[in-house]
Amino acid sequence: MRHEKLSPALAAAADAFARAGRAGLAPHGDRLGLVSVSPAARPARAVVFLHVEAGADLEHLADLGVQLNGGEGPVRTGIVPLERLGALSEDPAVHRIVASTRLRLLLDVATAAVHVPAFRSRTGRRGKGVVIGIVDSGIEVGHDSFAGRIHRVWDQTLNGQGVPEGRYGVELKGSSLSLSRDTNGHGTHVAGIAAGADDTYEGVAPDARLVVVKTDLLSAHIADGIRYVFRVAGALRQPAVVNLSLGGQDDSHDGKDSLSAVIDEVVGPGRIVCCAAGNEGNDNIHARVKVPRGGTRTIPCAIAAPATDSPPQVVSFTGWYPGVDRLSVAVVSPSEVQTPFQPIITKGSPVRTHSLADGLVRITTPGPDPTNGDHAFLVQIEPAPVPEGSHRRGSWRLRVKGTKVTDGNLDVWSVDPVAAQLTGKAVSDSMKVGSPGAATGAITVASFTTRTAWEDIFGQPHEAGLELDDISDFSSEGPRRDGGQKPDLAAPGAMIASALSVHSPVLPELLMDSLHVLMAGTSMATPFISGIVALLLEGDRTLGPEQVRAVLRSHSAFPGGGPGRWDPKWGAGLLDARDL
Amino acid sequence: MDWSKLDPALAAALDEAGGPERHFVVFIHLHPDDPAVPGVVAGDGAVRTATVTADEVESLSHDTSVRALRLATRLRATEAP
Repeated sequence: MRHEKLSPALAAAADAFARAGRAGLAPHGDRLGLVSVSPAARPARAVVFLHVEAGADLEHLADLGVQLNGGEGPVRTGIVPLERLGALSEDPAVHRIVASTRLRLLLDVATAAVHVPAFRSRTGRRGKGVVIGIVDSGIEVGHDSFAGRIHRVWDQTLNGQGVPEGRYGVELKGSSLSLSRDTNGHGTHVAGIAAGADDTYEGVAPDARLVVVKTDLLSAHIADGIRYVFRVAGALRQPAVVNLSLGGQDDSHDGKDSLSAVIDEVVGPGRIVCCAAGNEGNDNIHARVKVPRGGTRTIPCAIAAPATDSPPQVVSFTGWYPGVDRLSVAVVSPSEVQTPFQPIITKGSPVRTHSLADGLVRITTPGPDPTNGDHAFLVQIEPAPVPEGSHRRGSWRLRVKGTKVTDGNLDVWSVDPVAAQLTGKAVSDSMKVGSPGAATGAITVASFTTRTAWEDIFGQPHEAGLELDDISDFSSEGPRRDGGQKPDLAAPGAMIASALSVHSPVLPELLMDSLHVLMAGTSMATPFISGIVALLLEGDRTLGPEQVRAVLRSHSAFPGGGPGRWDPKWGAGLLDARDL
Repeated sequence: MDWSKLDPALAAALDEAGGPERHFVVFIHLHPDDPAVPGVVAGDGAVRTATVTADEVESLSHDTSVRALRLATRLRATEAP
């Protein structure tokens, strides 16, 4: 035995096993994950992490009875018979063996923060007879948390004949479910929060049935996925809640975009959609300016110039203003070259392209939007590469001129906060809830922080730069551009432990054990509420979105707020499920 | 092309399009009271989805039952960075 390769917890368990056999493992069973301590035909085994060289071929470990999971990275997971632990430690390919420990009670912390256990204890509800639809990156179908409860998976990314809602992708059920893999891990984590059946990290509605759409993230296909979930649930004669832990910023931010329109159309009694508010709370993605008649306003943009060997990158800005106004739009390059002011173009193509020394600029200024009557424009900039060793002075700027002004308010968003942000006085921490969170018919969820410190599987302490027991600073602010109140309420979204997809990459510091990982975001807060909605629907399958919203908001509160109050960051506040 | 029915993103994508083989995933907003739904449009409801060519976008833009055409966009998972 090479004891120096064993983590302390595993070394202690191995020593106890050597001295007293299975009986010696009993004190360790509560701490070590999945150690077979009870008498059984199979030998006592432990779930472990193996530290090896990245890409190492470990097939020979099967001779020791080691069952390895997938992956080629420097940390693998697997199950090892304890009686072969010594031989495994002697193997030169294995640098370190770390026991999988039981999870810290982070999700329990989260559920307790909003009194889910009290609600479930009082009502006896666990989501039975309700469908939870997960439209996301897929699901780890082999995870014990979902055993026997995944009814269907529509994998939109596989080639096939699709379903009635969209003739693409493949619908899977039964033994074929495993053909779909969650290689991102996001959907599995989300599903675990809403409906995971787990001894330690139990989800909110662990008896709910799951219908999963692995989406390619195109908004139209997400719309198809929502319709699919409701049709499948309808065939089961069960109510359903669809979880959308995703979003974007290239819409009108008034709930009139296409995906929001579909949501408004399909929700109703027993058909609820929950959406994430978004994570742009710390990003300068929105600016509001008041444009005077005949005057101009300028909005600077911070755009990273690509290196010469980088592929072309297009950054987009979208602007919206009332239909009664008419604005002209220009772009100023870092070299102070300005495109002509482009008015609204109603005859022929509204697109004009300008090739400048600093890059390519495309401006699109059509007539009023047919669905909300407002004017929109799109500015796309493809910065020219900057030679290595030099850097570009100055910044890109959007410039608008008021041709005909009655209202004068103009809102501009950077579509991708990673590629570009807005700067200057006009930047506003508001109206960052985009589609589908802006949908009138959706329940839109902000994130509250219930845990900021944890120990990873290796016993290393970590801290997140968030304020404990407060609204998460990354959570996107409302209201909508038309003043509509979004988000609706807040739920625990950081830091949350939930199910891990074995097919997904993961940062070691976020690993809790071989089955669970930490994540944060309004993505994590949303399935919390989806699970709560499933519990509500179990009690009354006819509840519609307005009734659900009313009951959730009336049981939510934020510091300094009172009944009926709403805050752009908190919505109606953190849910308290105790008396739902 | 009736450009007044196209959103800026679809107009820009068509302007940039490389050839007739390029396809666009779009939302099609229909006039709710118009029973004459274009053949390329399947499904139910006032807002449909379809994958269409540039020629089909032009045809749809001239269809009286079509109120608006919008390009589908790629959303992101809302996991905090």
